[in-house]
Amino acid sequence: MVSFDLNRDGTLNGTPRIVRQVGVDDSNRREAAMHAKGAIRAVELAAPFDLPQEYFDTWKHVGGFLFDQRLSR
Amino acid sequence: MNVLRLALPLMLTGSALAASASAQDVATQPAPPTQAAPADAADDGVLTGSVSDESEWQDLGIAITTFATDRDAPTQTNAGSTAQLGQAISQVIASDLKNNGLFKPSGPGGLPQPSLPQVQMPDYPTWKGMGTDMLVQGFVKAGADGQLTVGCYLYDVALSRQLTKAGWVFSASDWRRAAHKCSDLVYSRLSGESPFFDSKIAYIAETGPKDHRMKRLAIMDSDGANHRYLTSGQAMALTPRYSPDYSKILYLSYLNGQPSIYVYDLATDTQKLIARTGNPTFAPRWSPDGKWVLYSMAKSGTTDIYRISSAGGGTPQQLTQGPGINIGGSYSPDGSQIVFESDRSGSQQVYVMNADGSNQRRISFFGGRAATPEWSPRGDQIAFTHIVGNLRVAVMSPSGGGLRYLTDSWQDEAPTWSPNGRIVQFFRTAKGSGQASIWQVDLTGRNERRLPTPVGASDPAWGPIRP
Repeated sequence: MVSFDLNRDGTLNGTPRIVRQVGVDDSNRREAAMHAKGAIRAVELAAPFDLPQEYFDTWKHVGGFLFDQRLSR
Repeated sequence: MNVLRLALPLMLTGSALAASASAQDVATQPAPPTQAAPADAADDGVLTGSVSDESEWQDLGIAITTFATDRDAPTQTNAGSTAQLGQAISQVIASDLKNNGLFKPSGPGGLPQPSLPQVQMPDYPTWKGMGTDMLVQGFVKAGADGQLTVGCYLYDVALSRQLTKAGWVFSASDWRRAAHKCSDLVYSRLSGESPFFDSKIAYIAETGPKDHRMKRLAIMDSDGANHRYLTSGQAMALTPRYSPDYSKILYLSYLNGQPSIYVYDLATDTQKLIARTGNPTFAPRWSPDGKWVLYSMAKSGTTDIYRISSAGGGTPQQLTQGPGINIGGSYSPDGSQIVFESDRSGSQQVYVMNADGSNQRRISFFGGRAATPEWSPRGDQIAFTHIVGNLRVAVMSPSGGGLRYLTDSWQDEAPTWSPNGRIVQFFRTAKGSGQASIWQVDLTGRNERRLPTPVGASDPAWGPIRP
């Protein structure tokens, strides 16, 4: 789960941070670190965001955005 | 590359606002296994969201350009001048990064060739236009002393950002090691795994007819290059294992029907006798700290596993006390446990015991027979040969759960691990001819490759990553 802050123009304010990660065990610990890096990269690639100015106070801080790689297909 | 369609609006909690934004393509690196997570509370913010990736794994595209040089100087390598060497290094890297189930390398053929300044300042718009995800560039320079300096750079094209870089100085004859070091750098940065390309493999080279085969100890690089025979073939060599510090090879030698366990010292090209018991002896193995050697010995109807000092001498300590045939023995990475093979229940099965021989228990209950277990250097898996009709290489957890087949052929056996525990190596015997060859398969079981050897090859053992 990633949190990040946005500027008024929709660009990132600082680097996204990992809030928490679940399902990590000894055999996927390295992959978990890569998954976290991938999530941060995804947010960086998606920015800038085109969001309505009047609601800036609501979207200036995204508290938790979950990236879920589902393997249970 | 996984393309996640990140459809905003972001899910808003505590607000009726539908902050609708244009859907944006979000590209992530192939995000490897983490378990599906339940939606969880955010840290302190009101705005949260989620995206799930349910797509099939897709390989990450990596472009590898010809390594640039400051001047086209002659080198003392078999690859030619520095310019030719630049191309050869890129080809070795592209070949390394293939077949491991993570990447789709391209180049150096068919790609623009960067100038020396461009190596550190890639032309991102051009590479974006070509749809490149990741870019590997580098340089090679010849020093006056015959040494080669090789630099390696990895770029994330989409983010226009350098991810990592490194440089090495090697003697001309070791130029392939520079290429493997660059492959290792790229592989570990993009996969999160430990490197393994700059390593060596010991194996048994087989020549001659099926019923009268000559078996010699040989070594080669992890990609089959720099092949070298260590023994003459006068005595039959079997089951080599690299020492944890990489300086020696432990193996079994049969001369005139007399089995002996030797340690071959690679620095001095000399060998030392560790054990000659007078009884049939098999399967010598190192402990992870290199202080001990395990071996199996048949005596009065049973075969048991013994432990002896790798320095030679001392009294062997018997770890199993029958019944039946107890053989092999592969330590867990922390040295506390040993996995081995025993037929005490009536057929070959896999057992685990403590390093002192206590607490022996069977862990394989899959039907058929289970043989040649080998503990992963990461500790989380045990590779073995599962025999149900055909011989197949499989993995299971150390508690005996989670059986997964990695191969499906007529006769695949004797798995050993790459230093990072991500690739399993084994030998495959062809039906009819009995011709043996060495193969590698990644843990998905999807990516197999045959290692090129000049003659038939069996009993592969991987050495650790080189410093």
